[in-house]
Amino acid sequence: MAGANGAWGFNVERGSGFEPPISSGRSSFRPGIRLFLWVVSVLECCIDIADDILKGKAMLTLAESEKIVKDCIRDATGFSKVIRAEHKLSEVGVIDNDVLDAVNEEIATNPEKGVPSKHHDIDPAALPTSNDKTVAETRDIVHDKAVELSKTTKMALIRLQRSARTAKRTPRKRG
Amino acid sequence: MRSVFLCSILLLLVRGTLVCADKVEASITNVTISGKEGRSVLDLGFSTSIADDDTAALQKAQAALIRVFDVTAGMSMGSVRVDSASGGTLSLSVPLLNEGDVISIVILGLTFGGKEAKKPLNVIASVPRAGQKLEETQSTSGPLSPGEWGGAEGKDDANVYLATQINAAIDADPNYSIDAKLEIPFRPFPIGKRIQKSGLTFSTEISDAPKADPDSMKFGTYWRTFVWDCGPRCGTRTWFRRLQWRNAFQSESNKYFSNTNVVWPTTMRLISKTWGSSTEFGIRPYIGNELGLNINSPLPELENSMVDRPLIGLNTLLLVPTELGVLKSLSWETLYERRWPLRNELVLEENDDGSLKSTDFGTTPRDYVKNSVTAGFGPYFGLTFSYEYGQLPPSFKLIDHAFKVEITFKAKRTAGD
Repeated sequence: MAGANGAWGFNVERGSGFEPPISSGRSSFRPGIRLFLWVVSVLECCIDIADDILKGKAMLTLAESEKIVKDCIRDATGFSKVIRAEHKLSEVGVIDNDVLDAVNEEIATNPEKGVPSKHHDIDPAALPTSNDKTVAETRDIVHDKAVELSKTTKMALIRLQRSARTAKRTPRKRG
Repeated sequence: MRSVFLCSILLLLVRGTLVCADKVEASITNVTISGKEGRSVLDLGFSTSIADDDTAALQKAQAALIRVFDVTAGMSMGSVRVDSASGGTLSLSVPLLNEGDVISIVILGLTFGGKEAKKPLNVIASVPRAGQKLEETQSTSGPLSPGEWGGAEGKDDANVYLATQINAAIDADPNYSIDAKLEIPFRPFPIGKRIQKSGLTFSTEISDAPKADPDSMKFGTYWRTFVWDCGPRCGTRTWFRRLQWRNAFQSESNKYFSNTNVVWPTTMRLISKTWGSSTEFGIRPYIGNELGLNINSPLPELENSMVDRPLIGLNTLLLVPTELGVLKSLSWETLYERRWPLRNELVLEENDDGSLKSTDFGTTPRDYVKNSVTAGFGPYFGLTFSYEYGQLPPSFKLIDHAFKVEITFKAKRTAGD
């Protein structure tokens, strides 16, 4: 969508029918352009939503879901041994409710290893509430309940991830 | 002749058991069908990992005999290609299937860690139509059963918990007591990257044994969230991985409501990594404060006075997996807490006639320690052996080296839609 906005902006600045005569003063016309661009953005957003509804949102693959679950268990518990699909969560370091909450939080919100890393979203209430569940069952929950983010949110997330990466790379000034 | 016949049957049964012992419980729990590059992609999820290594898993899948039948068209799909296999998942591709067709997938000879599945691996699914949600193609053997009751690990984990105890304390006859808890969790929701958990809770620990009576009843609301985590790059060796902030707003009283406080307990708990792989161990040190108001006291001078108790504590948990007959799990939990009342608080004891008498008054630090070993028999029932010493608010009755044997029932509501 940013690209689409950019394209509109480009056309406008090149004077493709929307640019006012120089003599009329740009300041008076700028709010109009902004309003026009804003309307276009809103329309595109609505088209995205309609597109999602009509096409059906893409699901995570089972392999992606399993990787997310395993990575998030390792992050939350520090478990270093092999995690297999048939293992119960209690067998891979999820020994109590606190750790289970931590695993669920990683799955639902971690932008690098959780569901958001694949540009999907999941309702935390759908995630396991007992460490008696197996890794395979948790994988299936993530696979079934994760929904693809709309294009608008996806772009915002990508921008956020990029800015986070840039911030990490930029060395802090001393003093 | 008859003995030979019986022996043969016995031999067959023993052989059958041995053959079955070499097999594993494995099934297809999930199947998703999508289209990609002119072919249909079948994404299969198993309840058991094919292999630890993805390359080995792919080799095993390629060695297996996989057949896909289009039931609607009445034909077998000729070219079935194994695209990838990792952990407990397998991705196949077949020539493009028609929308709405019902297909049957049969897998023979696929091994899981070198062992065959006990039951044949097969699943029936339908090809989604354009715009149809993919969830509708799931196999009927899927694991999701939302909103059902299930077993819980312990009191902290359970939504409904009931323990009946037989107590034997020093210089006292055995007595009965009740330890109960009812929790109604609200729907968790995220704020930023933190999930907020809250709900209503009621818990009571009462006994008629004078020297083993915690005499504590609490009800109110709770809210907990993580406030810090060590991040994805902290590695598996980092000891403390998260900091949890627990809050509650609750009433704490004795069983007759003659000594009642309204308090706001708040604690910061460090969540450690889990040590060990088969036998697992974790620690939870915490620091906090209980701030509130006394609304009812046997000593009228203390009524409406402030309650303020900084506290520290340590919780440890050791889990030992066991599969010895009916014994399914064994856990050892220890809890130590020390409270420093900043305002004068009463220490009460019960007379034989049930009336309360004050045995101490002041700001002396109050300790509480509990050690419990729980043997789990299935998901709901267990037997707990515990040792308790110390004083718990609001009455700070001394639990004098109480040994308890508890028969416990614990249940938990699983996530619903």
